[in-house]
Amino acid sequence: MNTAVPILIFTSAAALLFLRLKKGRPVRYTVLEYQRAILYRNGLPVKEVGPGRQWVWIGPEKLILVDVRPIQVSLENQEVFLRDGSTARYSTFATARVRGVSKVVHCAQNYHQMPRFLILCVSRSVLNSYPASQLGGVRDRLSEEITEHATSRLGEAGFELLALRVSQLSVAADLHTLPE
Amino acid sequence: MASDAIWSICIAATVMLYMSSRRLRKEARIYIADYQRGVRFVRGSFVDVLGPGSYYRFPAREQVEVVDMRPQPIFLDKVSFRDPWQNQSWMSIGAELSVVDPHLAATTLKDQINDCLVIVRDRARSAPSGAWPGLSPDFRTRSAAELTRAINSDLKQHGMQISKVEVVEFWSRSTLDNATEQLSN
Repeated sequence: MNTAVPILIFTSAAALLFLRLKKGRPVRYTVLEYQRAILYRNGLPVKEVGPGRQWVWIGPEKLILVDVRPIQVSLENQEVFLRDGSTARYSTFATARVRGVSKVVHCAQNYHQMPRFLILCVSRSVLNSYPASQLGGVRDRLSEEITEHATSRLGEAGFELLALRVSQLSVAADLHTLPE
Repeated sequence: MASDAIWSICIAATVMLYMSSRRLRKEARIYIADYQRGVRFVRGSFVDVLGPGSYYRFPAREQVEVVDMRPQPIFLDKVSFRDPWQNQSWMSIGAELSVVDPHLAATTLKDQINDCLVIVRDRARSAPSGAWPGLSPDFRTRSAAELTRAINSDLKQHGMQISKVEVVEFWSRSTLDNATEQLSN
């Protein structure tokens, strides 16, 4: 009896340690109100988690946090070639935020870069399709066109465009700022 | 006496087990998410590529390098090249770089993104040759397809690829001459 007790204790300790190594240990994470998270189990996403406290078994499970606060995009003094070969200068200010957590995590290695990249591509592409002679007359339509394309592209990446404004649009050849 | 010895042995064994499990737990567990792959080396030689999951490894003989398979957006601003009439031209390109073969990417590139940018920029300077003049509506689409083919042929050997290539901006002396000609007509 006296010899059985320490052997029993040792065996129980060994079994507990083995389980801890194999299954991990439970840890409680806090997901803040401006965060969302994806719970991964054995490398695969299981579910999306909202704000609150979440138990995670460290080992087989992992919690990937995503910040859903709005992302500000500022593209200042950008130069773009126009369709007729002249050059225009413009600035774009936009705000976007995460809408689809799973899409956003998988859209890029650093999802914070995605809104800036997409808005830059869209604004350059739209402005490059206009000649300088038309730019003054379509200013409002220009903002709408850029907003429409940016909304669509950001939506595919899991973002939502909250606001976009094109300002300080000027054609370098004419050296004047187009009316607001 | 015998029970004291057994107690001592059991306590010592439990403490040793605990210490070694702490050491194992800290160093040996590696977590690979669905957007990652693990390139596993044993004694420095490549063995296999690990998929998503949680793995133990023996740090003394195994090394695992985790590779992120998600795309990286890149923007090449005003890349200069010569059109068929040898006029200086510029174009801006938006694209996404991603890993195709994690083993090649981990072993042939030190910095996957920056090293590939050099290759992409060099190829972009020499690739556009057809689809002139630049005023044609599908010029951008055809140029993007041609660029994708040309760049991917270089990136393939490094286990990388470029996708969603978009010519967002284009300027050529030929474009300006065409516009001037149209205005004068």
